[in-house]
Amino acid sequence: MEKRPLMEELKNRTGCEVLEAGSCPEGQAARVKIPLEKFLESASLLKNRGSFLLTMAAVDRRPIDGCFAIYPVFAVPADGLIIEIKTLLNPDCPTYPSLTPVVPSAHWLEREISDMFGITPQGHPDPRRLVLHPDWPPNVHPLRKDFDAGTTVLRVPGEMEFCPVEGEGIYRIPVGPVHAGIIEPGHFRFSAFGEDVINLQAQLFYTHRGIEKAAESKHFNHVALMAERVCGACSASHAVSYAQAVESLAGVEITATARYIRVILLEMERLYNHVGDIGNMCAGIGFSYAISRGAILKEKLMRMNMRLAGHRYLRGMVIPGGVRTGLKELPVIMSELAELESDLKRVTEVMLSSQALLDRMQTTGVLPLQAALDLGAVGPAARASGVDRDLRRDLPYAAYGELEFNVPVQEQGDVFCRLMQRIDECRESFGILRQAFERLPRGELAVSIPDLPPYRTSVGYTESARGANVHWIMSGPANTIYRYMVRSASHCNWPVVPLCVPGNIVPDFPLINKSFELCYACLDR
Amino acid sequence: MLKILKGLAKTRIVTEGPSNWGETRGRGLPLIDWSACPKRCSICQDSCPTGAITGKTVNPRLCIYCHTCRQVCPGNAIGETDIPLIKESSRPGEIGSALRERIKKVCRRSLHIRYVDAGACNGCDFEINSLTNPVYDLQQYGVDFVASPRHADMLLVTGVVTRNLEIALQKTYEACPGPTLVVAVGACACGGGLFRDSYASGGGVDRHVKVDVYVPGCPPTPAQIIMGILTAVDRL
Ligand code: SF4
Ligand code: SF4
Repeated sequence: MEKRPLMEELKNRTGCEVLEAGSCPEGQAARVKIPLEKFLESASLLKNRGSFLLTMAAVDRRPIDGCFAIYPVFAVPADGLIIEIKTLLNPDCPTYPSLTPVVPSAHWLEREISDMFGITPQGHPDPRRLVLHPDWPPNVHPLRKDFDAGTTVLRVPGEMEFCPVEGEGIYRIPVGPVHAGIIEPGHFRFSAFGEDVINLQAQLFYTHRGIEKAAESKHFNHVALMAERVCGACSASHAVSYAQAVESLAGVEITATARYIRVILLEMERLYNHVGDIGNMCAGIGFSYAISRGAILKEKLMRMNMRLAGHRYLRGMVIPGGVRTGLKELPVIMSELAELESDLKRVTEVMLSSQALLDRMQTTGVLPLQAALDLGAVGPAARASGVDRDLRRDLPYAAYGELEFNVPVQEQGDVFCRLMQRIDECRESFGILRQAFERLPRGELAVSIPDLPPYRTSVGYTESARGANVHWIMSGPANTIYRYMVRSASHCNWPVVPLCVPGNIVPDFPLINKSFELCYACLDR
Repeated sequence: MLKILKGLAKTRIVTEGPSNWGETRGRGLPLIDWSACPKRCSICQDSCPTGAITGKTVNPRLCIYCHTCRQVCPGNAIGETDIPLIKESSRPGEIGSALRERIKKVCRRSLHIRYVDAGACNGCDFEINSLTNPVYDLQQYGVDFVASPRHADMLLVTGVVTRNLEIALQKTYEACPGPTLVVAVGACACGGGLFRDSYASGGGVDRHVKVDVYVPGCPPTPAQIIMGILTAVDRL
């Protein structure tokens, strides 16, 4: 397949208007404007050409041109192409035909758009609220421009809407939002028969902080700090995604030094997450040796972060235009990493020789390949089910295009595969770090960002330890951000978790949940 | 099993006392040097994203340690404090034993903490989690995290207190047997950080429940959080 035919076919079939076709630092990007009648047709055309949905944003453009608009963004890895569709909607009764029946992975995105903008996706199979809790009044749409960010929203009485699960002997277990352990808040509702879970539903978005709204009308450098604080454990990944979005909007190319430093930061982040998770997954089965070993190795990595970048979560390093400072103590860290690699190997060997671990993890919490593909699962969770997709390889950014690494995949999609996936990915990360340390060129750390052209859109993405983090921005006047949209890996993966739980026993839920290691903060924003 | 024992014997003890914490240095709180400050400008104040600088002093409860102010200062007049702030407050080796002593005396041997996430970004939560790892091993001082607020002497709260968690925080607080110590961990909990005053979030924990100790940082290091816990126990 070549680039031309896809774009040409799109033009012929839908009569779209190509707004912009060009290259961005991460490859080819095209923006097309599609009339509402052709919206679904173009989406199914793209889907049939092997693309997947990266993100989907809505914008209240009424102050600009009197319309609402939706912007689904597709990635076509076979062509190395990113296609953004723009479709304008009627401002008085904003509706459009729902994308979900064609591209199921849009289902949460569309429910979110319906909550935040009051734009109705017609024909959506599940029109319940998602982001706004039942005690939010109807007709409050926080991301509309006529909604002031500082508004105090009244509480109204309301009940959570869960699909009923009924039958003799079925009981419900409500859990949360405040949990027993040191984890984030979410409310789960299990329907169980004896020990067996029949159904699991969740009410999330407890930590919704209104970040996307807070970012509006702020200078793009200010928003960079917010991007970093979307999620603690993926700080670097979010920061790089956002910075790339700004850079491609401004049309600047960052220096090789900055690209390599970003790779090192991103891989250090992946490592401390994966190593911590490998240990933490064993907390689900009470295997204390592995829990404490994992925690010790993770702490070592965090301290390396501190010495390398001055921050345990690598914050304050990535800025739009490059990186803020150089890395310190590189040679020492390099040798310590080699030591840590062999430590990790020893620990995982011991773990994998435990029969109890295999018993509990194998065949538990299976995510079938087709479900992972349809629902758009990402990251290690998807690869553990056999989805061979990794943005670092498929649509390379930073310096990944120049480095050699493999993308491991597993087949079964159970908890054990997700453990093995992390172990395999750690090995690759050590390899990437070695190459990046060796090749790290000297040079300028950052380039300055020229004034942003107003009302233009752009997308930046990274493959974090949890999967694709996609940041979509639209610029406003005077270097501000007009609309900011974050789709994190957890946003993609939360919908698949309830799918993996039925058929397992209640005590296996913590294990299954840990094996996905999803983040609430970057889902809720 | 044999391998596990061998591994354990080889690693020996990893748990550290506070004397080691001083080694890990990171970005500290900005410190404005009055003598080098070109007085009339207010660039640092204007560029601070959280409004932490007023009248040329930095409010640690609002600061997110981003160091924007240090970069924009034309006179290079802004330095930083050490992280953790332990060295200034007392001799490092004594903190651990002081904590243990206080807890033994004041709390009758152990202190039980309930942690509440009231809308954090996960950073502060991960650091609280680190407190229980074998390196910091909070249990060595007689401090334990408990599952129910009914057993808790202290609440460790992170996050801006979002609208959706206000009630949960309130209920957790009321479920604690009094007197309850409340420690706000991180810039978000202390003053709202970057996300205060929006439709979805309030401005820090003290708007909802009485706070005894504020632990600044974004996120604070585990050592700073332990210091915060000690300070709170001291107030009893
Ligand atoms: S928030 Fe940033 S700019 Fe403001 S005082 Fe703190 S370090 Fe300086
Ligand atoms: S203070 Fe910083 S690290 Fe802590 S929750 Fe807030 S943004 Fe996250």
